[in-house]
Amino acid sequence: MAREHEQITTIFNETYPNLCRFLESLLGRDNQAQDIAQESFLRLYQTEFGQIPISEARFWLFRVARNLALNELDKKRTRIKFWQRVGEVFRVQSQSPAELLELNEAQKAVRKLLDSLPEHQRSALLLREEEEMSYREIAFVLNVSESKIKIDIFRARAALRAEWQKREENKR
Amino acid sequence: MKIRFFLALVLFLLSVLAAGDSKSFSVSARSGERRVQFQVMTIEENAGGRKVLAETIVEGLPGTDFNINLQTERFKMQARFLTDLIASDALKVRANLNTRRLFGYSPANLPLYEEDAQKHALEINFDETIVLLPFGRGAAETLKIEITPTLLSASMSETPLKINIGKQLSSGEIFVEAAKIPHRFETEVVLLADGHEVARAVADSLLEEAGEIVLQPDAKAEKEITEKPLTVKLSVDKYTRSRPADSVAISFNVFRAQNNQIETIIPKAAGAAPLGGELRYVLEENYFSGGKKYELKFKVRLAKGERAD
Amino acid sequence: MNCQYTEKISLLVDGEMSAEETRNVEAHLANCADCERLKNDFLFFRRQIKESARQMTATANILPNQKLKNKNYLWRRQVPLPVSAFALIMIALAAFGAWSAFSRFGRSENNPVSEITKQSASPEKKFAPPEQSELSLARFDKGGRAEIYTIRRQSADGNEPGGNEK
Repeated sequence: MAREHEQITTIFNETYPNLCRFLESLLGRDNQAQDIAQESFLRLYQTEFGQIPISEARFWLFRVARNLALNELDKKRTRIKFWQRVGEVFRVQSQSPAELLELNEAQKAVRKLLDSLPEHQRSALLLREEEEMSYREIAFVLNVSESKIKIDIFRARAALRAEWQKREENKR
Repeated sequence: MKIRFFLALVLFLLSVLAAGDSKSFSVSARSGERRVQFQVMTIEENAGGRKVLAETIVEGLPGTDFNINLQTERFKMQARFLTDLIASDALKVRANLNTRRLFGYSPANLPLYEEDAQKHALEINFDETIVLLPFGRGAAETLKIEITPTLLSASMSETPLKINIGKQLSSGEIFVEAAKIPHRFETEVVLLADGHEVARAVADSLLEEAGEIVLQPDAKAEKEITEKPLTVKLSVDKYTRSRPADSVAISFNVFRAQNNQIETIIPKAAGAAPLGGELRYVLEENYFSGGKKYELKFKVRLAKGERAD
Repeated sequence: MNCQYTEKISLLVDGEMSAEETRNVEAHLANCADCERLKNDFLFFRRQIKESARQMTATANILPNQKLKNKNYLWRRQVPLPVSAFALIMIALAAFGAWSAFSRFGRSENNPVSEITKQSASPEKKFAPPEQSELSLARFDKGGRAEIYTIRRQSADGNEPGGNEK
């Protein structure tokens, strides 16, 4: 029993900051990332905890958190005129975190390019690079097939590369 | 189901025509003694059996309404339930189902939706259960939402409404909400000729249900009013809580009938007024030969025994 | 770039291929400058993302630092996690941990959290495939139309699939 409590505490400590960070990529810095992260923890532990192995808890958390975040965004989306391209809606609207932190130019540029990706590509790439999840785990969090994850991650990287090269050329 | 509704409407008409004055619903006086409880269970059913995924219990005075909202990534359902206790062992439940499903994208990359709207009026006893299938049937595994009503005796605490949230889906895709607004109203319709009352009727109305009210002319009325009384088909559509007073929205049409011929005077009209307030509507002169200016005056109040909270 | 190995480079940097496939792709890399550049670019983005992520986590939920405070952010509604809220969450977690330990009496699987955080691509990894442990209700959606009907309850099990519809 004590060991379980330890494990839960460990999961909380390890996951909460990363979850907040992931949610910020969806919602923007000033928008409820912490609320949703906390809500995800509470929901998960209230309902499913008895049935989920602790080893999987982290993935359930990300999945629940992302769904809650998408619900939040959906509320905003319905207010925007419907003929805007769906991809643009998920662009982070508020001031980007990159501008607030002490990042070097390359890091800032990459973060900005990330924000311009469609949500499912951005989330897949961030879960891969920041959270080091396997394709299978990412497929679970995003509730799509593994083959879609493969494609999305490749396209995200290819898009970053193309934009980066454009940027480099404009500099000259 | 349709036959029962029609039957109820005919009985309603007869009682209005015969009595000509207000007749409150038989249980309204007793509704303060009882409470109704709705257990809303979300169930997964497949060849292997049933599994309860979520549960919410709504409890309140008779006339408690609840909504079941379901939203997944591509599908959204809103099911509104208006409930009324119509006898000591019978409930009238009116369900409005609205669903919307993302179907795909058009060549211009705009989202295409498949929408459906259904209206059902169910009359059930307390040994029956309402089953809602958001995705229909026929698949290997079915999602069922079962609503089980129970009649309880009044609790010691006088809360109008209680929602107990039991097991919930961590995905948050199902959400139950409830509200208690008055359902029973007394509608008074008066016909004025040059500002003087010449015909009137008072009838009970149930929220979101149309009823016909025949205006009874009095001695002062012109012959054309006495020979061809006006009928108002009216529905109290919406009740809104507001300050300083709650307001109601009504819609109606006005016609008169003689020898199986119906002449429409007002085809479609609507208006809103504070509860107990007046709504006036001027009738067109073309229909009346006496040269008088005719007006309809509406007043909607809560029915006897109906609570505002 | 129309090299047929292009998409495999992405899989390579993620370690998502079998040992044999990996060998093949690495062998190709020795001869293809384009793919080598692509791989380096992907790794470059990875570095930028990881390094900036480290900074983001550090400031994700602490009180705003002086630099941020000095700017006039009217839009910022972010609430830092106060100690009391944190304590409340820990108590709730402890309570649920105790409760779930109780209700899970008899279960044997209890893998330490650290196993999953390690990067691993082996197919026999212990993880339930999405089809078996779905939470989303979208799995029920086969495009059918919503229906509503009433059934009479049986006294014991209340399970009557073909009830009388009205």
